[in-house]
Amino acid sequence: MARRRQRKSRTRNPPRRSPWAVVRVVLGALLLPVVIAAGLGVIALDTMVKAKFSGAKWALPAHVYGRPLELYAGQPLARAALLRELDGLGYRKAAQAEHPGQFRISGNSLDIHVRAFRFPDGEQPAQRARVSLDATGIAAITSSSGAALPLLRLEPVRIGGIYPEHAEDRVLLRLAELPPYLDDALIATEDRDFYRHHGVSARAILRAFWANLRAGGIAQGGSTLTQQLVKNLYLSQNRTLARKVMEAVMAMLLELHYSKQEILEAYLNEIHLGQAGGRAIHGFGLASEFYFRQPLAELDLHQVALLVGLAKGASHYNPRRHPERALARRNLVLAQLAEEGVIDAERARVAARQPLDVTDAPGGVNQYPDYMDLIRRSLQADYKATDLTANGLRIFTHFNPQAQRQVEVAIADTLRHIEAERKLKPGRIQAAAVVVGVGTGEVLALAGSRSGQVAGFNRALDARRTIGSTAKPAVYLAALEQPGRYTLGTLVDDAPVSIVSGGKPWTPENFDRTSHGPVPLYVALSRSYNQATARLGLEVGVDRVADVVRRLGYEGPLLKVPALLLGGVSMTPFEVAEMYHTIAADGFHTDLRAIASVSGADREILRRYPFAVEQHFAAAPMHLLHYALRKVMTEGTGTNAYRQLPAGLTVAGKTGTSNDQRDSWFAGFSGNYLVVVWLGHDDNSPMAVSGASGALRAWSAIMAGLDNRSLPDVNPEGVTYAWYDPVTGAGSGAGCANARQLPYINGSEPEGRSCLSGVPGQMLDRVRGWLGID
Amino acid sequence: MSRGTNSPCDGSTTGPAALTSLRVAVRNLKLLSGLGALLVLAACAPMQSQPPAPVVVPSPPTTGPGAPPAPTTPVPAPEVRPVPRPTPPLPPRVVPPPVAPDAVSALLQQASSEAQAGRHDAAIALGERAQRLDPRAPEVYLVLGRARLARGQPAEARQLALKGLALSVTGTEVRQELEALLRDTGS
Repeated sequence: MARRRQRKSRTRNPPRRSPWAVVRVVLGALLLPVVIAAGLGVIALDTMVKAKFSGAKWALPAHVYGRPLELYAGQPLARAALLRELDGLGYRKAAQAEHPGQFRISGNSLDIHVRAFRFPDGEQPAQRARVSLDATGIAAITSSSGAALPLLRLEPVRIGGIYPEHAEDRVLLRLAELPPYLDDALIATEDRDFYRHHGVSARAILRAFWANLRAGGIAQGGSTLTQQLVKNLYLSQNRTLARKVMEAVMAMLLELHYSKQEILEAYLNEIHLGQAGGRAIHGFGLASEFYFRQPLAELDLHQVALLVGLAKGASHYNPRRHPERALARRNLVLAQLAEEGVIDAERARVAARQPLDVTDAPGGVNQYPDYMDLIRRSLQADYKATDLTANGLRIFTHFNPQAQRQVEVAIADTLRHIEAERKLKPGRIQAAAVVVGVGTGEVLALAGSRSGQVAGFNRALDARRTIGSTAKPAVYLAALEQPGRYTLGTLVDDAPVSIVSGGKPWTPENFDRTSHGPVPLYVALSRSYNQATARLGLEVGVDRVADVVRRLGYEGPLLKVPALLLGGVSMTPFEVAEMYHTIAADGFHTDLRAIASVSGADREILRRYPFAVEQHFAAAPMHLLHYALRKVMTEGTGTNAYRQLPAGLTVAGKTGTSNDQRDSWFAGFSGNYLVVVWLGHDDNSPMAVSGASGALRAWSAIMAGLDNRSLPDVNPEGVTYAWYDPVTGAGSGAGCANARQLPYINGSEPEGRSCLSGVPGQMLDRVRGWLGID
Repeated sequence: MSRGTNSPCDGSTTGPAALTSLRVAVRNLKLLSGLGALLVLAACAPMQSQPPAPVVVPSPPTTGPGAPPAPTTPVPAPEVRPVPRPTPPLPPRVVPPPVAPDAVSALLQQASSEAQAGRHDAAIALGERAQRLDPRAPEVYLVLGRARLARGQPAEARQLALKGLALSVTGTEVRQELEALLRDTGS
């Protein structure tokens, strides 16, 4: 530079008209722009280097966590489910569970060394505990000192991050958190002179040149760690000479401004170590999750060596795709560590005998795009995009990975079977499903397509489809809210209905195209008779039914027309889930929530999404509706569920099929899970699968794999069970032919009638005697 | 149903009354389930020729593929209360057994101490953990409702009290405390 400036100044000296002077002037005139350009270029590069490095150096995506699994004595948790949870968290089986992230199986008990985790409610230290299992689940949990623990909370799995558009992801790492050998291995392998050079190393270039000459090709790069960082931070991967020069200049500038420690830390967080679809895996923190599903600090020497080896070329040495190459590369790193004297030769040999230990499924990446989509939408109202993609927020959700897995497997299997049995073109039927915790309103799992792993049209949230008979409970609820007029035993005529609606005739027909005469309300619902429901709904009034639909929680467009009575309204599966949750939760409405809380990078809780309820229905009519929806499962259109569910499990639900079988729905719940399933074609064409044959089957398959509890047998105050004869629609006596008990809202029960057979009556007297009632 | 008035009297319980009553309920449940089983046996014996008669348990699946051979869960304790004649006292109200009583009461106890220290958000978070384990425990809604009221959210507290009341049984201590909470919410 100095020489150039000298030359520059000379050109401005008074000219001496010699031929040399002319040459000099011409040369100078030619060089001046180059020099100015170079100078400006360096200044520009310098600004760029500083801006990027000290500014939003690492835009930190928001980390999204699932629900933490709480273990307690008496929990009906299968051993396999517990092991699956530990596997999902990257726990390793070890002879002694000495370190966090390890567990040991001995007979019927598991010693788990639970990792420390920063929960929103505070830091939970690492702890060792013994979980004893028996045939029914967890029998006891004891601490390492032998004391009984009421609860053991595992840390939640990180289910993904929210990224800016260029789709980078990282788990930020500080030098203090490194596992042993990582920085040594990196320097030994990539840049032995790191602490001596100023960004560029002539020795490294020469050494690489020599090595490449001997190998007869590119065997080694001469780039320093600083140059590699520059390439990752600022430049594309082009290998042109101009790029190389720029890279060298920028590396020197970086060294000028920042310390070796800062540069190393940046390198550890920035270097590209893998690719998950369209998303780049940056830094060792995320790479550790991606390849091992373990936090970096837990890695053993052989795992560290593998990651270090990947710095040279993450795709070429991809351990999932090219395990042999990756193994050779890893062992080379180990050998170099031994050569540099960082570890002894024996240690290197032992580590080189280890398997790659890479998990089959990548960890830490968005495996659940549909649920993440729900999270993103829920956050959009409260946060700007940059808050989410740059500030390292921690988002705690209700996502249950086990329920999600169950949904994905069940839908895939069911659709494959249906397509095979009916010789349908595979892959055409689409699906969506929502799983909600009954009572809490927490969204535990969500599938927006038949293959949950692929991001795309999220049918669970965006597909508005005709809900068909899934709407019928609203009609019956509207009727049962008037106990003076209707009880479950009220007979309604299932004869043809024909009215004029909006100038057009409306003539609903039954699914089986036959009329069933006078039937009790609960039978009309459980067997999903259209004619009876239409007649009842017209009697009750469309407005009243529409009001019930609103109180159940539906906020979308709603036309108050007779077609509404039979589900002529389009909703998303998520909306149907919200309505059915109000039913499952005994008439208390809750907004379905996916997020529990959001914490800032500096620990404090920024926002909570607490549980809130509002009673929208009295307990008594809701109890009557539950009775009818239980009958759907035992006597009505839902009985096939018990091909997959245990006979002793009490559940309730409703099928739904739209006209010409364009949509197949099932919405139902046990004591603790509500599941809604929709099947259909994206182009809304008929698919010849009804609610009972399609969605119910997938629903049952999902339910069969969840740890369900039966619906409780509790009748609320204000409800009385009375004997009833479904043939006459009138009251009956215990023991009469056909007699069965129905719940009635107090005061609406029929007159009891004496029965010919006296035995049950005597029996009753005896029971009364025991109970001290006359 | 008089279990709420039973005295635990073991001197070791220092938690709020609701938790005490929960624990008593669990203990009494074991005693009552014996009576419940007796009732089922006695009531069903002479009616074997009939379909399973829902005398104590209101609505088990009675026909179809869902008909259970017998409930495998412990028979819950019936609540016995006189019903005006002529309606037969069938079936009595049945309270399902609490889920994870020890874990739930441990969490609710922690929640109560957080609330006493004025940390109502922390109390809510703990109450919600308990709710996840047993969403039908009325004590959960008592704790959540009290915390909301203390945070100055009486409307939310009122609804939580209603939810708890819907899940609780007349005469229990938690019921009385929920009723008190409902009054405190200003209605």
